[in-house]
Amino acid sequence: MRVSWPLELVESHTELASTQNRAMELARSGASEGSTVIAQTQSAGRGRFARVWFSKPGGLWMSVLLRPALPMERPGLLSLLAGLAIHDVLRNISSIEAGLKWPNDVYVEGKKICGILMEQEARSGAIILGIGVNVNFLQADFPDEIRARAVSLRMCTGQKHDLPAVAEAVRLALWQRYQQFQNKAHALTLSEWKKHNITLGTWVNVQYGPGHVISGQAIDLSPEGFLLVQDRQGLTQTITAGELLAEQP
Amino acid sequence: MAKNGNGNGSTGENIDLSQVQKIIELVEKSQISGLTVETEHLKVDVRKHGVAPTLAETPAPVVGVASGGNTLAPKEPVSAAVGIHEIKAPMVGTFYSSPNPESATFVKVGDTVQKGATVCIIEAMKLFNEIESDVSGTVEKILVQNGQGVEYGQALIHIRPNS
Repeated sequence: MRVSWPLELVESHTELASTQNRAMELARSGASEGSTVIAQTQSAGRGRFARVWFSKPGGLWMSVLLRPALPMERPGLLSLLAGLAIHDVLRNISSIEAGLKWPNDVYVEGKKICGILMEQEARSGAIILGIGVNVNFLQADFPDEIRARAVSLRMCTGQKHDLPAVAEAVRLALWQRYQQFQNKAHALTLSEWKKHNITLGTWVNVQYGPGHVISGQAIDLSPEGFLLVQDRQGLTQTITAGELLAEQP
Repeated sequence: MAKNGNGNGSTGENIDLSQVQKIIELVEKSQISGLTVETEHLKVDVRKHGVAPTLAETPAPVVGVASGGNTLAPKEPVSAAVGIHEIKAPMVGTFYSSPNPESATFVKVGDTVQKGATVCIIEAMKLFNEIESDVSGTVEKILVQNGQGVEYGQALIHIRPNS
């Protein structure tokens, strides 16, 4: 039985504009599931809404091609599972207990160590899962605007890590968590995410769309993985997407 | 919301329908896919059409209303005129008319689009789905606003195909 995607599906680059863009090209050309694009540095790495993503050498910048059965049942759970996969990797490598911020930012002691973005190719339904992990940076390496909020694996463990080994550990963990999605073990996904999350129970401002904010307490997830926020009037609102900012109760 | 005037028992006989109507309108106008209001005597769970109740594990609601499919719903579903092609949402999520807040919209009314051109994005939980036009034609109508929540199968954009 296969235990991960084959290594020969990995495409490594010294520099790319964006691993997401390259993986999207591969998806359109019919590449196999598990095809992976890694770059030491990205000149146009991006996060949500094409925001610049810090992508200097020293981080793991990778995109993995998935071809889930369509139509996907509860696609948001794939987003939760990607965060859980990184949680698995950090625990296996260094016994770090990371926390998951809805839906899938990965935090260690209040600072972000990993961001995840997924893009779906319209025609085939293929998903490009983009992951950025801060691996070997020192605090001074981060740009000013994120320095106070970012952390790396090296800062957590006090030692440098072998990037290809971390990359393979991430691919393996993703493969295992993806099987959980394909096998529709949805209740398990929700309970595991809740076990490791840092969002539920906190007060949040959720920004969505232009100028819209919902404030309240994050109380639970819906079966689809959407965030349920109870506002000050006691109304429960279902959040499908948005930026989560901490809020004082 | 939903004060004690909603009823003194759990049979639903004394429900204040105007308050239920207000809740439905609130959901209709918002980007959320639904909400639940609960008081001592009453629980109202409003879902937009096509979304499973999110609190199914809690005791059965006294009143369950699916907005869009109920006579209390304020608006009829938008239907396309004959010959108009509808682009529909492939999943529940948030509609974006541009790739990011600083960019121009993918399309506007009157634009000519080619088959395969991206016309909008739907996001659910950081899964971004670029929606392509499956016909070539002219954008006739954009039915949802930037940042608005959409349901599975909801009509987003009307295209008049090239003849």
